[in-house]
Amino acid sequence: MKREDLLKHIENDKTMSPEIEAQLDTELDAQSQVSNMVRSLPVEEPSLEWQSRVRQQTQVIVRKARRAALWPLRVAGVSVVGAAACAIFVANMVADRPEKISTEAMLNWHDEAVAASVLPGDSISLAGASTLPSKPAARNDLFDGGSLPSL
Amino acid sequence: MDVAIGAIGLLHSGAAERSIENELVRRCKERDPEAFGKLLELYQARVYGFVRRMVRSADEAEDIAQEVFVKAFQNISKFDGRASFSTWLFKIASNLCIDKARRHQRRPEPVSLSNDDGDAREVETSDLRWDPQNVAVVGEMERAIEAAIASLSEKLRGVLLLHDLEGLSYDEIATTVGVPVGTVKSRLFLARAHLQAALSAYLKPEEAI
Repeated sequence: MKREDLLKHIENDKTMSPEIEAQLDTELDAQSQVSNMVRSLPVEEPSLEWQSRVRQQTQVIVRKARRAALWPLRVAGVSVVGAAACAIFVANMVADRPEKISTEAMLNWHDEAVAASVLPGDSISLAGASTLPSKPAARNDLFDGGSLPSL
Repeated sequence: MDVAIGAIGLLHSGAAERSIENELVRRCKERDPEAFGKLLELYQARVYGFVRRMVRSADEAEDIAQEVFVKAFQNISKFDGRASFSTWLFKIASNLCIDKARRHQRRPEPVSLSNDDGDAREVETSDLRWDPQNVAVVGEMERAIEAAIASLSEKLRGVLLLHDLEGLSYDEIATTVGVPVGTVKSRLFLARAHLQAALSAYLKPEEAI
């Protein structure tokens, strides 16, 4: 196949048979002169300012990546500290709680408190507390709408 | 390690380069800041050089080249090592350059490649809206080569630069650009054919069109 035909074949984007590809390889080898001209072009170096800028940005990326990697450890650490604080708090609360008191002890405590509040000479005694009249004291008619005594 | 890394500047491929590359990538995945710096030092010129010849201006080239390394380093954990790191970098660079070109809404226009018989062959090669005069080169021939490369479409220019300038293999280019090897060869052949036509004054008779 002529070179021009090969060009036309490629332009039309037809499927490439092994024979066509082999011819293409031969043509590519024959283009070594122009290939060498491209290879001889000078290296384009980026400016020093660009190099410095990208280096700095690279360091920022690395720092962020390191922080992101430590995040699970930080969460775990905070969780452990928080759990420990809660455990200490609860333990202290339990320690401050008064002892369980039995019913009998509570009643005895009550009786003693009442006895302590009774004044000497008082007609009311602990033993007679249950005999106190249940009726309320007589009302003072002067204050509940009754007639005034004559003057 | 530093001497070996320095030697890589003279090599474009090889087992030694791959070995050092793998070691640096492994250290980068462990968030070793020095390894990131070494990789940047290793590839910044190559990536910048490729991008510079793919886009319109030095400012655009710097922005895109910077973005290449930012994307690569941010996603280093996703690099699985099936292709070489340099192939991966050039893939990112190629995609960013193509995205940039699409944003600029550049469209290649057919340009005839005439043979000696005067028959015109229309080949998708050139973007006539990009003024090659903006490309800064030293020397008349270099200027002519740069201008001819600049006049190619992104598809052809990318393959030409990756193969002839960066030394990537056909398989590596196929991975980078995302096309079959046969298409890589076709594009390379077309790109060189266009350069032959544009640089005929500098070529020996047997290779000039």
